[in-house]
Amino acid sequence: MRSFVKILLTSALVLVAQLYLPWYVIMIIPFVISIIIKTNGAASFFSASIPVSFIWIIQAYLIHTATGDILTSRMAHVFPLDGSANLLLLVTGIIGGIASGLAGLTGNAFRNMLISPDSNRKRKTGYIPLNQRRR
Amino acid sequence: MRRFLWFFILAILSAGLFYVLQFGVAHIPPAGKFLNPFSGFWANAEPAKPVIKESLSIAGLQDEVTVVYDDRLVPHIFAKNAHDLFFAQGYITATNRLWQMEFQTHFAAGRVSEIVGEKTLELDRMQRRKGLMYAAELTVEAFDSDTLAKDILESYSDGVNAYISSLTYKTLPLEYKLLNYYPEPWSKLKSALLLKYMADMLTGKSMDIELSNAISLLGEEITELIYPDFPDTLIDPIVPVGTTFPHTDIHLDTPSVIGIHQHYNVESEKTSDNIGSNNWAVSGSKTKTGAPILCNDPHLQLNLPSIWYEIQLSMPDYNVYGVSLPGSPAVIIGFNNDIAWGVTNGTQDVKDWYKVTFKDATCNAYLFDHEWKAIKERPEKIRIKGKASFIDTVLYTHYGPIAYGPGLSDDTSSYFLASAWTGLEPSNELLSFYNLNRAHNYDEYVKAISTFQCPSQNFVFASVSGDIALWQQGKFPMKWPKQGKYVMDGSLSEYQWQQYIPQSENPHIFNPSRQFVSSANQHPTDTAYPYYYNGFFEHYRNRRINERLALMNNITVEDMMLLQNDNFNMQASESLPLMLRLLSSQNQQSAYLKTLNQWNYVNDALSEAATIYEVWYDCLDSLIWDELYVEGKMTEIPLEFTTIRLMQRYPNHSIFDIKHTTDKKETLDDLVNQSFSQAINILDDWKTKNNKSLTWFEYKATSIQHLARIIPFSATNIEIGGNKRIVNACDSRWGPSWRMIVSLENPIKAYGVYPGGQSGNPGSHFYTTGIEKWRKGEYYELFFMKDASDLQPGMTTQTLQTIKP
Repeated sequence: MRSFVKILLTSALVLVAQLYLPWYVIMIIPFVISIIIKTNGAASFFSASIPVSFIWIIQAYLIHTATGDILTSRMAHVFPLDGSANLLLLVTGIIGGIASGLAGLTGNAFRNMLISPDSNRKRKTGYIPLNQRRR
Repeated sequence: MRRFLWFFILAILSAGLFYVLQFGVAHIPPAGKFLNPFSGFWANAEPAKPVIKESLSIAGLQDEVTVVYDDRLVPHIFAKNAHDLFFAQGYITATNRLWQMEFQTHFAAGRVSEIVGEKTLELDRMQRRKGLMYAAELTVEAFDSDTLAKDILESYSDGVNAYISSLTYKTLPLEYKLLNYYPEPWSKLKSALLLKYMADMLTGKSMDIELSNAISLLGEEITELIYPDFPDTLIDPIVPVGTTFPHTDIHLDTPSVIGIHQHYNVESEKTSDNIGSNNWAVSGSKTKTGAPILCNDPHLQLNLPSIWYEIQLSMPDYNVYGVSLPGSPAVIIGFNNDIAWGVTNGTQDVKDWYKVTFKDATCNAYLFDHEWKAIKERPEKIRIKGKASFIDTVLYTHYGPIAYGPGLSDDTSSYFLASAWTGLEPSNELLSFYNLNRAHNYDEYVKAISTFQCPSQNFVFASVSGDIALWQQGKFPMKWPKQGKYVMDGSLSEYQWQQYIPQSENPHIFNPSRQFVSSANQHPTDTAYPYYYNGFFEHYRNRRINERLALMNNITVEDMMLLQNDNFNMQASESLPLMLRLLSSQNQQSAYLKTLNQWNYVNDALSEAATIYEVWYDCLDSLIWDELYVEGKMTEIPLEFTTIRLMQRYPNHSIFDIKHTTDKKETLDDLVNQSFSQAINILDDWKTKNNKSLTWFEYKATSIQHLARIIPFSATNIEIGGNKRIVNACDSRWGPSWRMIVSLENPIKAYGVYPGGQSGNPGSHFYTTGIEKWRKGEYYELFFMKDASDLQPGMTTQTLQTIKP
């Protein structure tokens, strides 16, 4: 449920922010969201990377079709992807996904570092290791 | 602790990733910035139907400007005053061609390494040793000394800068994103650099060093035979044979020795031997409409974005249409309501080389007329992407900069060579174009071009009132015989340029009895001209054009289109019969021979015979000039015309002997047969390797390459015929860069096409617009609007408004 909220929030904020702000909002937004909303590590990664990859691929795809392939076909040779527009879309999505996912994961780790981990651990495992108990 | 460590690792990873995606590594562009579909390269893709805003507000305009775009995106600019006209020209040109404008001037200034890194350092060093920046600075001084030129250039710069300051990363031209840098403010200096870039391209290469090397290899007699100033046969100059020239007393201090001949093993840049152009005008008595027709097709390197930008410029008392050079105000080749003009390159040598004698190793002083003259030093700081800057010092003599010498390049020379070049002198070519744009008649045309210095151009002219003319215009040093043909002694004043040919005596022709004028980089005159000049002149295109024009009557625009696209290979028609005659019986069996025997000497795109001839001739030419292909020695292969003359006249001459076969003395006969066998092998191999037929266009492989040599942004393997020395002078990399035909009826009708498109953006559908028509020899009708309301179908109007404070 929390992951779902994160995905919605990330999508909405990224969509709006991308229109006005530099590309790295796709790193800042998931980082901040993951500090605010608690999930596990995997969820913090994918709740950022999935919507951002999706948004990037959709936007690129819209441009690709609206401009009749004029630039995509050339850039897919520059990269070099053998002229494949699909691969170029995929690369775009992967880069956006990795950058945002890693930022989400980093945000999560930041949260875990700041907020007392004990309660977290306790609820999850029901067991507190001895060395931590002493502390 | 572990959580801290985990965060710390992730934070480092994130920061690292951010850095790589934001700033890039080495030559990889910053992937995050670049791939972001909201503002990265994706944002440079444009829809097929261009988005033209109805109005734009731009700070700096004095009044409202109307820009009408036609269906090819040619802007027709209507302004109320000169400031706004050239401001708008700068703004609109930059909108479409900014990256190209700046890259060309970076190239001229020797600043490419700033963008692409160390691999172009030697190129940049050479550019600086040519002194283009030095010349551009002098040109700015010349601009500034003239209020009109200064105002035009400043308005243009302000317009370009208004566009640059409107840019965000999203709207930045694609190449900046790809090469990861940003545009600088435009300036008068950059416009001056562009003019010097053209001057250098067209006149910056002279053969003095190569010809001196030829003398040291072959002796003076053979050198003069194979590089004659005039051939031993009739030529077809710009000013017709038989014209008389005014008698002139020439007083020049003439030395007894013409040059210093030794082995100069310098590493010189290679330029194409296909720089050239055609232009002609026929008078009304030869045309169907009774109005003169003017034609021009300058042959330049085929690049994308195209070197030309089509434009109409209009204000009160000024209405002109044609092509402009992105980076320079005004129209360079075009027409107005009254006249049309076009240019070809004047091919005379205006760059001479001097051997400089230094006093000592400090190179502070050099010998001149038995005294030591102080050298001027010009420090050059070459910034290199990703590396520390390279500091160079260029030494200037009173002739010009020292381009070659110990430690200056990779060569191991022990001598210093300085160049004198008319392009290094202050001049104001821009004003000539501005005045041409607004000229109404022959007198105003002559006045407009009279101050044009470098690169020397053959200005063809025709007017609605019925005049035709052609002036070879430039600043030409007055030379004693053979002066500047070879490297000269820089220590004696009699070797320096002493005077210039008076402008009024430049070769010219006005309303001649033959009813046409033409130029195609041939000799401007025959030997009756009183002044000495030398150069590598054309001998085929000019004769073909003149032959055709002399025969034609009732000429239509369509006839002129056919002539501009004429693929007749006159060189083949004059050499192949001889080559075939000398072929021995064992070579008679080849299937290639059958194709050649049926050939009509036309280099059409689909001709296979043309490929066979060209390959065979190249093999023969290489065998004949084996004595000039010497390791570590820069030489120039003689003109095909001269070679073929020698084949016809002296088939047993020693030049036909192959040097390394000491036991045998070859004659032309042997070489023709040997080269034919070589050609067969090359042709067979090519067919097997490429699995294609031998059609001429496939073999020639004409490509129009992106300026930064980004192959996916280039057009390759274009199906077009022609070759150098053919009227349709399209070889693999050079060719007709703008074909224009103007019928001087009232009102004027004009047609044009160029191998590129109005947009410089590889993401635009207007990037390669004209290539298809260009290769087929077709034209667009040019819409020359009377005023902003003279709209044609497909046109879109945009208003540029000033921002009121």
